[in-house]
Amino acid sequence: ISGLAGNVIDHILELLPVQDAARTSILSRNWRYIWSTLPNLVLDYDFYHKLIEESESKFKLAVDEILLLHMGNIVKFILDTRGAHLSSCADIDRWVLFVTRNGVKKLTLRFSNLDTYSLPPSIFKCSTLTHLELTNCVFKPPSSFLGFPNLISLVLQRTTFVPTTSFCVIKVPLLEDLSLNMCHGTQYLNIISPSLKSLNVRDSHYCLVLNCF
Amino acid sequence: MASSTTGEKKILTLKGGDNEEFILEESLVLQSELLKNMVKEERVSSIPLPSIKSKTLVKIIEYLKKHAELTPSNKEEFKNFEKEFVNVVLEELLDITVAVNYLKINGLLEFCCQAVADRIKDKSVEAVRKIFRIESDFTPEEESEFRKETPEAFEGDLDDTTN
Repeated sequence: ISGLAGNVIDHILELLPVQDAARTSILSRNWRYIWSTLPNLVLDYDFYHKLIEESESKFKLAVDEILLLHMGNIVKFILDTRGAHLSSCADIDRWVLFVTRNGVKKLTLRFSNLDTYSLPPSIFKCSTLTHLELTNCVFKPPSSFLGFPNLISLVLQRTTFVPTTSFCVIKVPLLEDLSLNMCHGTQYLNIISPSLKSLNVRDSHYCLVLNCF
Repeated sequence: MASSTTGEKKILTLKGGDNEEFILEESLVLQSELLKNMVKEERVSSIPLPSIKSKTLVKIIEYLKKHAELTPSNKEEFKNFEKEFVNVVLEELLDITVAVNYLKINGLLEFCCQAVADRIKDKSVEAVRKIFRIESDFTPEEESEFRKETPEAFEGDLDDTTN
């Protein structure tokens, strides 16, 4: 396997469950830091369920440990906790803060409908985001929110918009793909996106204001 | 190698590492980004691939043919073919993966990487070392120190077998 190019090894590790990929760092010196410097962290449905079945604290400890072991930028971060209830979201705020401070570009947060998650301020300050996908979140930007300058794709499912003043304004100058699936509070939504190419709206209740200059 | 055409179909020769020649339709090799660029930019009719064993090349050509015949109606058959395709000894699977990465056949690369990943899923560190013939070069102290660093949740029931 040492004959494989670096990009192939990275790819193989990304296709492995995190638990298995992490163990490769104790194979030998050559393998020591390959996993911990991988730019993509995928904590998917299987990862969550394997741990949450034992206990919530075990799951949270595991995510803490993964993030503490990680070195370098985190380009992609996926956290999927659908299908099981979490008693507190404070830890998630910390994880999101961590990835937004480490250059995250592609961020996916999926929660179960039992735990609607209020997005922390760190997301709204994250200018590196290019892809953002949220399920069951509350989108309430702080009054200082300037939009996402590099966002290309925004996918929102069962997300509730809460206005800062009278509107919930999202400036996304580079946005190309926007998808709103069963969202609430879209009457407050005012998306400013001059470069939109694809719009997908499903079963959102109220009117949608879309400004394109 | 002289370039030849039969009707509309252009013919191309690939030369494997042991100089064995494979003659095939040019349209087939276009699935490889590397060969596609060579064919389009340089209009070559024979491409030497000295780093790829003929045995590996035979497998890859077999895949390219099957993939070219893929239609919505034979999807199931193709899936079974893919499964059989990676059902080879690890050495061969790694040879194929290296070659596919070099040739840039993206769909097949993804599939090969998944097949390699599946072989080490749920395996213990010792088993993975045996499977990939990796010698640990850690001192016993380092090894136990690094094991302590690995999240506890990642231990548990692991498979020590190497098949």
